[in-house]
Amino acid sequence: VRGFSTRRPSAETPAALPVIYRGWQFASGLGFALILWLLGYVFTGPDNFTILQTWMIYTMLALSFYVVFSVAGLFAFSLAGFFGIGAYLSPYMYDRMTYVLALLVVIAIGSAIAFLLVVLVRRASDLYLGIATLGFAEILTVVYPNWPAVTGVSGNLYGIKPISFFGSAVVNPRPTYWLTAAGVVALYFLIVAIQRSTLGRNATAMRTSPEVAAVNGIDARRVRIVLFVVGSAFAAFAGSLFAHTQSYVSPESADVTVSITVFIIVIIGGARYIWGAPLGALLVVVLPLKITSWANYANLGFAILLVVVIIFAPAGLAGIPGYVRRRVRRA
Amino acid sequence: MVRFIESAISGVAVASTLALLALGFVLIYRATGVINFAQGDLATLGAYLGIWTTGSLGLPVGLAYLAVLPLMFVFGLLFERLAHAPLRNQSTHVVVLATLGIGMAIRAALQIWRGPNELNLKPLVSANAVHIGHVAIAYQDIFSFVVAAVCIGAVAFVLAKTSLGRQVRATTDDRIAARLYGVRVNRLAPLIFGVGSVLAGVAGLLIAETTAVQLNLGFDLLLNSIAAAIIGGFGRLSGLVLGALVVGMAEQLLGAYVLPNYGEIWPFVAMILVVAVRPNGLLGGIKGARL
Repeated sequence: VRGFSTRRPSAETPAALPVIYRGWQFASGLGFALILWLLGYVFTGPDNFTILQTWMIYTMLALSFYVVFSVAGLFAFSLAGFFGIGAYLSPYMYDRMTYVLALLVVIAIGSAIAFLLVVLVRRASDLYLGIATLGFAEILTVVYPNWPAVTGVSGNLYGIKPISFFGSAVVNPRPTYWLTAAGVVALYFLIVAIQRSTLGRNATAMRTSPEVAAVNGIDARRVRIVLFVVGSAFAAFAGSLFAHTQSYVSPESADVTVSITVFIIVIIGGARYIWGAPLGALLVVVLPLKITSWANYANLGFAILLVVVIIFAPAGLAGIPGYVRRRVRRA
Repeated sequence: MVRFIESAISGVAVASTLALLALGFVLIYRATGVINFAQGDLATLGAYLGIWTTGSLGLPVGLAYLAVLPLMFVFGLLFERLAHAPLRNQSTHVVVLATLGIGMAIRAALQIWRGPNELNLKPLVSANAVHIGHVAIAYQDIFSFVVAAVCIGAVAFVLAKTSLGRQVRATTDDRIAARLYGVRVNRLAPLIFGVGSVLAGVAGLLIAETTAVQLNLGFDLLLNSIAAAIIGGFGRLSGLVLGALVVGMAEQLLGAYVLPNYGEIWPFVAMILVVAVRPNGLLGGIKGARL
């Protein structure tokens, strides 16, 4: 029975910590930026940069999911859908206008679709919302292979134009890395700022004590809708960066597996903490790329590791320091 | 007209296997509150076990199919001990993740055991069809329908008429109260996971009768079957049947006539619309359940 005894820290609500007067969010953001900056100098070779690129894109997706899941408290699996919308529409738009304009248009379209979706399913509760949004992502994966004008032959879009600034295209691994790193760090601090804004505080209040929030005039439904749209727009942004840095998009790059992977990242990383996102992505996405030499056993090893981590650290990797601290204090 | 009737009949056949897959899912959800994302992979496991018992073990086909069921039950017990029992105090999302992990482990283990290629299960029922006028009905479709009807009927009977069923329903309504009244809630969970796994195994065998078996067999069907459960609402088994019929018909009938390339989207469009209009499904959700 829930709430009877908790031997281990649980991932119960409040999902995200109230950030007011807590410095770790900024500090972790700075630390993350510093690590990315160092990695950009330390690493050489296109293979390493491909891995880093994957890590950063999944971190961006995990951060988007953090906004929807941890800040707004919505259990939604639609992020891969918005990632796909960004990845497929951005090259189409970029052929017709400058990148900044194309990005704005893509984000606007993504937000509009997110708004329609969340208004449609706004009354659904946890499980129903999760599956309805999963269904939405699934609908899009059927659309990709069947819309040649925008999504290419059978949904395979090759030779996507790299982004160019002031006439010079970002093509080599290292400049591409810097561009993506700038994107992910910007997203990180944007989310920290959102959590510290009125919107973020309202969301914390609404999640932790809905009655008190309602009495104080916070419109919970409006807060949820806005945060869902914002998170989806972030995913579309990640999709755009993904398309132009990889130069290739296929239906598999935005299918339901991506939504599920992002969910795994956030829970394993620690849903209460924003820095759980990069940490979880490191374990969930980068580790399997590193152990491919185990061949067949890599998948099994990874799945077992996942179950073991979730059993021994249900609050995620980011929850371990707090758990240790509490243990030490009690002893 | 013939095409219409044949599409409708294959819609019913699809609905039968979906309902069977969803039945285990809903049963586990109602008794333990766990969204079991491994349900599809359990079906895949059932199909692979069927290939093992019919092929390598060389049992007669009927016996081989039956032999899969106790194996699935034991696996369900292990599953519960591993992924549910240690996480009893955790939030639903953490348990969901554990079931996802178990599902991935099943897929990975099956790949090591049998390789990534497609396999075929020795069918129990012949691939012929009975002809009524111009309409052909495959024996396998009839078999799926009968098996699904029997399983759903049996579960409905146990839930409605037996002491065990009353205990499960009490647990669904209020876990704590059920426990105070002496229902051994934590003893119920392994049993329910076992039965849910057996149902998934049956569904897997039925699906494998007509299609090639591969690692994502069940996982690909899981979403459709959950969609069926959601359309009907988790509250009643009749809702499950209704939802499965809606999904099967939407896929086969609507898919045959409207935008054939997009046939697969209709179940999900239907689901989103149902959730928009009736957030607890057509026949209502579980009273007082925390979803």
